[in-house]
Amino acid sequence: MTAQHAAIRQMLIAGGLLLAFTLAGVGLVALTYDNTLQQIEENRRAMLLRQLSEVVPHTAYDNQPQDDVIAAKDPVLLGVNEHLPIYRLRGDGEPVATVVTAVAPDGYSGEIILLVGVDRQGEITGVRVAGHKETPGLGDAIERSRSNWITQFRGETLGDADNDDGESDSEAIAQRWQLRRDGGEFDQISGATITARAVISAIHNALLFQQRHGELLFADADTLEDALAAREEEQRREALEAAEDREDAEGEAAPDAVDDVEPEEPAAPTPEDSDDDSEPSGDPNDTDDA
Amino acid sequence: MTPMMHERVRDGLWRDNPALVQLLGLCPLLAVTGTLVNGLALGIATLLVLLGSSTVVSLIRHQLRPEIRIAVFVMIIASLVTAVELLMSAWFHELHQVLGIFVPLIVTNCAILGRAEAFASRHPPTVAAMDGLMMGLGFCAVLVLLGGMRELLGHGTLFRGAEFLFGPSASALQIRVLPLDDGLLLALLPPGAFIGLGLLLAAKNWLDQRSARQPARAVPVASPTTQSN
Repeated sequence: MTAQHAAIRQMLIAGGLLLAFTLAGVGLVALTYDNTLQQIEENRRAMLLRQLSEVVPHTAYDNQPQDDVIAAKDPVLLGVNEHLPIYRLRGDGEPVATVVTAVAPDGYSGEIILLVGVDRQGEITGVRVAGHKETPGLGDAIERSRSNWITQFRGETLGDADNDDGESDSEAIAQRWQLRRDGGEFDQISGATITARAVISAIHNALLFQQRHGELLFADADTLEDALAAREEEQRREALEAAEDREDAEGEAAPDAVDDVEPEEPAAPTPEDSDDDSEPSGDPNDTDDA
Repeated sequence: MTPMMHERVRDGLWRDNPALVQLLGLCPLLAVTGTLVNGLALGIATLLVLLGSSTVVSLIRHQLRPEIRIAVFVMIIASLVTAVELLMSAWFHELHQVLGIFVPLIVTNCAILGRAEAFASRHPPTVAAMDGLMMGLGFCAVLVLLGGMRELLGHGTLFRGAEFLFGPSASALQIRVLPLDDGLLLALLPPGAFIGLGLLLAAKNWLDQRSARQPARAVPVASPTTQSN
């Protein structure tokens, strides 16, 4: 009995000691964490701000883009199935450009994280690599500090949309957004074809993403899904209102002519507007004013 | 300095060097030595942890019980590494980004747990601290040497990225030693790290054998940096 008691006593002492050392260790970490938290946060912000100002000339905007973020999840166009930050740059409160965080999932050794700055005209203001694990000496030529390969994208757009039909041909664009050796228009990196292909494809997708969502990226919401839901809600409400207006107007004009001839009806264009916007690749600036 | 301390210096830097003789902590050794500055940064971080863990382990060695000692050692080392990592992220943020996962991985460096178990838990704090310092310096020296070799062959430069460690003004420290455009890519890739380490081991053994043939000469107490050049 006493032997058993002694053994239990030993165990309790050992356990107590372990607990004491654990508490001391946790205390040390907590103290350090508390004292460095602010500095680390400042470093992160400064680093992000520097990256953003490399992607968009910082004379172009006057807001704090690291605080003006909308999160978006688009596994196809942004490369990963998680929310990525889209930074919104404004000058005098007006939208100037967006910086899309895009991931190239098919790099030579893992994901390549890109920051793609796109202005309101769909023109690239700059691209930088924010993270990668490509081969040193070959694939790391995508870094600005190693070569200026990445600068060739500045000023590029999805394509000269004004071809003969006046419409953008997505196949021709996709053809253009490739390496020269694949029949496209962009310089390759010798010895790092897979890396270069992955980056070009990710930039192309980021442009498509920006084109698809356009103004919506500047919506007053935390995530793109929220913004989409809010817009749908608004469209539904407007359609409802328009329908009510139409009912009121039924007595004055024939029902099937309502959409065409309506000089005194300001709310009438809205249903057509919303139809256009709900097309996935529709130009958001496209209105039916004509 | 007492003979005991002398022995610590000689063991840590040369005779029992953690990287060249005990061959411990090879994962970070091979992974981060792409440049001299990266090697130096991880070397300093490891040195701080080793110095801290050896001192603390030695201080508590009488309170410790054998059945929980490894758990306590790991606890101490993990706490110190986390603290160092946070400090590094606060003061040397870019460098912290470059070294990435290898800073937290210092925890798994067997050299640290090995010194705690084999030496620090059996010796008084001053000797244990000296041992930690010297083992850390020996490890750091090998990291710097290997990083310097690989950077020289791969980029033709030394001290590139020095501004991450010493502030913006230090970017002038970078010197171009060899007029290389592309450099020897192999040196920058993981196989180059293994080959480089092999060459360092060979050089150390060669120097040891040479001094053994001349027994009149004292065993050198200098760092491997000066020895293998």
